[in-house]
Amino acid sequence: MVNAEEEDDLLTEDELILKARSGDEAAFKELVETHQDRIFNTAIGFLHNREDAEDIAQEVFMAVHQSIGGFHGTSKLSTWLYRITVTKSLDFLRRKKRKKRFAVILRLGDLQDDKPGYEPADFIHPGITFENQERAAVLFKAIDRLPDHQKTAFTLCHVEGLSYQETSEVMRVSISSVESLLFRARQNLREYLRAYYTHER
Amino acid sequence: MEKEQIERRIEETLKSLDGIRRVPVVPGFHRRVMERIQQQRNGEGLKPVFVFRFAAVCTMIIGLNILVCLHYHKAEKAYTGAALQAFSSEYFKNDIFAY
Repeated sequence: MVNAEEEDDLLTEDELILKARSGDEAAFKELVETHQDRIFNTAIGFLHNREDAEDIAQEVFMAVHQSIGGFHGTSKLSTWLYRITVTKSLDFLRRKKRKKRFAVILRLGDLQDDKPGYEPADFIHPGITFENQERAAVLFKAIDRLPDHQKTAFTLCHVEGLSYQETSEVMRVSISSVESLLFRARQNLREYLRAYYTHER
Repeated sequence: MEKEQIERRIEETLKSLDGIRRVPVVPGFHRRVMERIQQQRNGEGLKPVFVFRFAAVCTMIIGLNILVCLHYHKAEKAYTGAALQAFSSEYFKNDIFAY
């Protein structure tokens, strides 16, 4: 059952969308300010770089501004925003991987100057407590190696703190699929971490 | 013992994201989004880099087509001439040639 306060929130969101759809810039500003942290943090969870994450978060809202007319409210606004963020973040990572591969080929052919690599240094998430920062950096490195679906499920659940239900809505899969993706993600992470800590000794 | 220690570290690492806090965006985020939207509107259409790349690709395709056509015509001419000559010489030297 939806209580009165939640109903009020729902109405506000609907009104906001309607106003933003009609070109009301103040409504769009409110929409951005309501969701900017959530989008920025999701992007950080994927990209592990503050500047890249801000860039992607801006692109998400540019896409929203352009296509809000196509949003019919079949899902929650936040779900839609998460979906755009995940797609854009994964696209960014693919582009980065392609660039890196191309740079390696160029370097093999000695066609490029000796510039520092594109790979960012070990990522320290600014929202993690000091005592966990070192371990989290290792974990983020391991998350980077996961396949896209497992990475998405793990990031949405454990970095963004979404429930299985919310994650399944964002990913458009069943809850059991999310559970299975998370199970496989944890297995893969354990394997990577085992190799990492064994090698470290 | 060592194995146990590694397993313990793995579990600690997996739990290191517990209690993660949200990081606020830098102030002025909405303004920057609007600036980029404006930039996109102003620069609507194609960026010079893309125009240049598109033109380069088109020129290359057209050039290749012309080269292939020229080469094909040359080869066809040469082939037709040689084939005719071979045919006529074969035809006239044959003994069964009679009216």
